[in-house]
Amino acid sequence: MFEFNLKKVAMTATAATALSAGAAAAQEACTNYTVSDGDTMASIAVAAYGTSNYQPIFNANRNVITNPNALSPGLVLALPCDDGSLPNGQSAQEIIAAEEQRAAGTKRSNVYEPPIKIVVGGGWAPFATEDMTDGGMLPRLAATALNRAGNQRDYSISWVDDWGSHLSTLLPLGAFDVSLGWSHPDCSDRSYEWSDDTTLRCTQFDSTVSSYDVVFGFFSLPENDYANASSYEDMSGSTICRMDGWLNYDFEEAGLVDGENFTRLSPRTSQECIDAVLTGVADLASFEVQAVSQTMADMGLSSNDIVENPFVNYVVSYRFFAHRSNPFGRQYLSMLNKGLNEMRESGEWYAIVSDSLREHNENTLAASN
Amino acid sequence: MKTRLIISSLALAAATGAASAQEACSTYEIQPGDSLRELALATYATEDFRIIYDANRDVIGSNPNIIRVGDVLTMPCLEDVGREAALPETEAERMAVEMASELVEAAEERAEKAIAEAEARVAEAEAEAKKASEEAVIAARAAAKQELEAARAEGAALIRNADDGDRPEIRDRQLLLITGGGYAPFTDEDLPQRGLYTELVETAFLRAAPEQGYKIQFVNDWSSHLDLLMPTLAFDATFPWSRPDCEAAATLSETDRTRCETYNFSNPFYEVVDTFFAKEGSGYESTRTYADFAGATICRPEGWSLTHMNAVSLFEPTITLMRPVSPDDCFHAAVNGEADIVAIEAHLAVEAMSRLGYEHQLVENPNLAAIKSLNVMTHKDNPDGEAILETLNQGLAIMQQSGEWRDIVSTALLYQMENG
Repeated sequence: MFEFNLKKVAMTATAATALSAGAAAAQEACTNYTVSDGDTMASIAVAAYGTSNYQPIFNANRNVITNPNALSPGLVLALPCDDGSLPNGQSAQEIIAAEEQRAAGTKRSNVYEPPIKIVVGGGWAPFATEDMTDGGMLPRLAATALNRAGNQRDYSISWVDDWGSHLSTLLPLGAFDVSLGWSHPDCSDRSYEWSDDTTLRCTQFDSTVSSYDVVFGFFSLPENDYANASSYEDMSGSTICRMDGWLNYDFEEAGLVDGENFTRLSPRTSQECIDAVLTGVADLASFEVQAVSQTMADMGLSSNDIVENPFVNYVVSYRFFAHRSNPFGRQYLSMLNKGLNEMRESGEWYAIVSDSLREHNENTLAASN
Repeated sequence: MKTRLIISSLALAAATGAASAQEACSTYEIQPGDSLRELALATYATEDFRIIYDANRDVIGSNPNIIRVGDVLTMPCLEDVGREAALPETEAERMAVEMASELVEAAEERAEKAIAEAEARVAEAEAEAKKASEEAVIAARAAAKQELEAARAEGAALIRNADDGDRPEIRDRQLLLITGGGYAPFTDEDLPQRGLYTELVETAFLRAAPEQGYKIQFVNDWSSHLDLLMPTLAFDATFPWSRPDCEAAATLSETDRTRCETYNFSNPFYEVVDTFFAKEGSGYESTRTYADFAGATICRPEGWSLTHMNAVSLFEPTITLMRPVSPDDCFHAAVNGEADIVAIEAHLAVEAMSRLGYEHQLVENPNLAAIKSLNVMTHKDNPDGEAILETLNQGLAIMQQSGEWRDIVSTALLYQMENG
């Protein structure tokens, strides 16, 4: 379970000086960089890559960064090269090829075991889409995990775009064993009233360890009152835009209730959210930093037009879910956990993640040309 | 003189084929060389000589190994000995018995020949050295005996094989199975159908052998099953138990080796995930290596197998083991700080922690877990043990094919989800 506690995100001296970011000038892609006082993830990303999307840096340093808003000076970060590989490291393809070869050498069991039925929704690049290699990052991670760490399990991947049906119907009825790409709040925290969605996720499903962590940031016009809110509590009274169907439980956990002490706008597309911020309809837009950066680029906006709040973010762990009535659910999750853990150790996890992101970037670049 | 004696006893041995007129439901006069075991094999196609001995105790006396030539035995009728199933019923069995008796006959012929040769050699040897001939006769006799024995074993194997593929016989007597409580959702008297594992076993009997009488009793002291109850053979089977990797005997602990040597196992009716729970923030709940458990006190209920822990070198003195009778005590100990880690099956943990209100205090380590099978065990000394397991395996296969297995398990897990 990811131990990120919102209440710890208080205004600290380092956080305050983060406003004067940009002091460290030597950030370069494909090198190791030592964090200086005042650096933020976003400032490092802008200096090294010319984009505020720091998700790739977060991915490459997942084992040393717990809270992307509180970098301690002196911390050494690996800034990935353009192809996503680590400084002085092997390329993603090399790592994947080596691991594939290693796994191919293990003896196959002669006992028949039915394929694990995996379901995922499409159109969610780079995480899950039929257009990408092996269906995108999450299906790739799941499929690989089932053939690592002693696992040798066949699987099938089915595409059902109606995400809601996964949890409400497909998994409970046993039509599928595992659904990819779900998150849940801290299910041991009963100090607030759970919404139906939280109740569903926390009481009916078991989940794997995190397969991928994304950072949800808060973005506003530079002069907005909430641009420097230091906590969720400080955002009380604001209007926040996050797309329809995207999670709500970070607000729930922090005591922000839509219609009572804040207003949530839920349009269909990310452009509509950024638009709402530009026009002042919403104070803040909050979703994945990677998607924000992409949307802003599509709209021709720079990181000066819309800024990220340097104090508040939320790390969401995408996991794999199995319904508790599935006779094999726990067994399958345990296998996936073993595989994912081995992949983190071997570097294959990062290789697949960076390779998926590279492919995604190439696709979007090709689409815009 | 000595030589002559040996030859005459050999002649007796060679005449074993003489007892070929034995028939059930008649009388039989004992011929030289007969033994009860051979008579039983010839008449009832079983080595179980008690069938004849029990019917003729007054004639034979207290020692079934000593029978006297000329005594007349009453050979019980087939229906009276209740061994009908052991008699040739199917074509395959009949053929097997025929082949077996042919094998025995052939071996006997060979034996006779060998003895005749030996006799001839003895005659020659008499003129030369007495000692050498004696050895030759002894060797010939040993060879003949070996051949006979091999033929019999082969015959018996053929008879056994003829049984395979058939429905195991339905036994007239009621079978007695034991299980224990406090193992939700698998076995507990307070659960619907007394737990999902109990329901699976009952349904397996229902599907594979609907006429089979059986009774499932709860003895909640799990360790007594293995220490006391099963060895008496008063109970036919106990469940559910995990099967150690018996094929890798060298790597097993003493306890696991004993379990492998003493018991036979059914196919797995269910596979569980054995997990480790620890206090949130203790570090034990998030570590990725078993080595980090060194020095910890690990609580695992008494009677639960330590196989998966031994396999990763988690044994004393590397760790301290705590083994209370009740799983609940393990959770109490972990919350009180007397134990660092609870090593326990995942479904049970979910039920127990929600019942005890420890959900927010103890956390499962998602990185370290072992998948284990849960099986029915029968004692190897139980003559019906393998037939019982075969019946259960058949029932399990039928349930898995029809989808009933999944229904039963899902319904039980759903019940746990909604009532846990």
